Parts: sequence; C-alpha cells; structure tokens
Amino acid sequence: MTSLIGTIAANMFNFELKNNDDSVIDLPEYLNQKRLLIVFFRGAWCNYCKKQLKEIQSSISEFDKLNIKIIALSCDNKLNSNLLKEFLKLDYPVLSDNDYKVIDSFNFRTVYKGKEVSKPAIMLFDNNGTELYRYVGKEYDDRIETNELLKQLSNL
Amino acid sequence: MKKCIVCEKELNENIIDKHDVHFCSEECVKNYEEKLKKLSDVVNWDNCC
Repeated sequence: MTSLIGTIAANMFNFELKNNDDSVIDLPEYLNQKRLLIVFFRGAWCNYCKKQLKEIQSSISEFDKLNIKIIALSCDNKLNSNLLKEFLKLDYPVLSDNDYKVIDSFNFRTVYKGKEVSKPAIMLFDNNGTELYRYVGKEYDDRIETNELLKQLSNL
Repeated sequence: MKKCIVCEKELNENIIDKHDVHFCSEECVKNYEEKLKKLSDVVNWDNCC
C-alpha cells in the first residue's frame, strides 16, 4: 500500500485530498519536494479518460525525471476509483472527489448527458501548492497528448 | 470513521486491509475482487479505445 496517511501540514494547497481509505494525504510529505500533477478525469466509464490514464502510466518514468508525482481524480465513488486504479494497473493514486470539493475549487464541474462530471483537465503545482500549469479540455475528447504535455512541462 | 469500500458500513473492529482500502468482511473482499475480475474480463485494450 502506498502510505499517504497523515494530516495536512502547513502548506499553500487550498484543497485537501483523501485516499480511498479515507485517510487525508499529507501533500508536502507525499510530494517530498517534487511537483504535483493532478489529472482530472470524467469517470471510469469514459474511454478517453482510461486511454489518457494508461498513457500517463506508460510515461511515468518521464514524469519522475521532471520531478513530478501524479494523482488522478474524478467524481466517481471510492469503490470505482480504486477498481479503476487496479484494473488499469496504475502506480499513481486514483482518488474520489464525489462531493466535488476539489473539482469545484477549480470550476471544473460540467454536465455531460445529464451527469455532473469534471472537465478533463491537468494541473501542475509546485510542492508549496503554487499553480504552475493548467490544461482544461474544451470538449470531452479534448486532451493534451502525453508527449506534448511532457514537452510543455519540461519547459517549466 | 472508516467505512467498508464495498458496502459503506462503518468499521469499528475486524477491519480487513486489502487492495489499499478497508473491508468489513471477506464477503465484501470477494465482491470487490469479482468486480475487478469482471472488468478485466470484458475489456480488450487493443480494441477498447
């Protein structure tokens, strides 16, 4: 188990992330001086999302070289988030934000076929919580290619 | 309060830690593992997306 248990230390992150076992992630401890990439996705039912999450997993060593740790997040419940992580064999956490607290803090909530979901988006923060980069999909299938993302992030 | 990831019952004792989450019973673990297996059985990633 990736141990992310702890309490939020003094930091500038204006949101709180919880593991699927309900423990709060101590972001400064988890990041350990690295930067945080959050992948907001629509849900486990979305094939575009699954493809993107798999591609990111395939390039995880490239993100690591850029000192970036990854967390994926959607409004799915904890059960489906955990199943998705295991199903896709992802090494990074897939978290549930089914009360939309984090999604709403960035105004990413949108409606797709009557369902309230997050827009597909990617945000990068430094280890103090300062936003460094964001890409927000204009449509449900609007995703930045992982290679292009790595290229852009390598310039930050 | 910790909850079982499958049935969402509050957990007081006899917590089972597996798959990075908590379960209240072996039955819920089995239920979870069946869901996971079902997902793996139905998707062929070469044709999926």
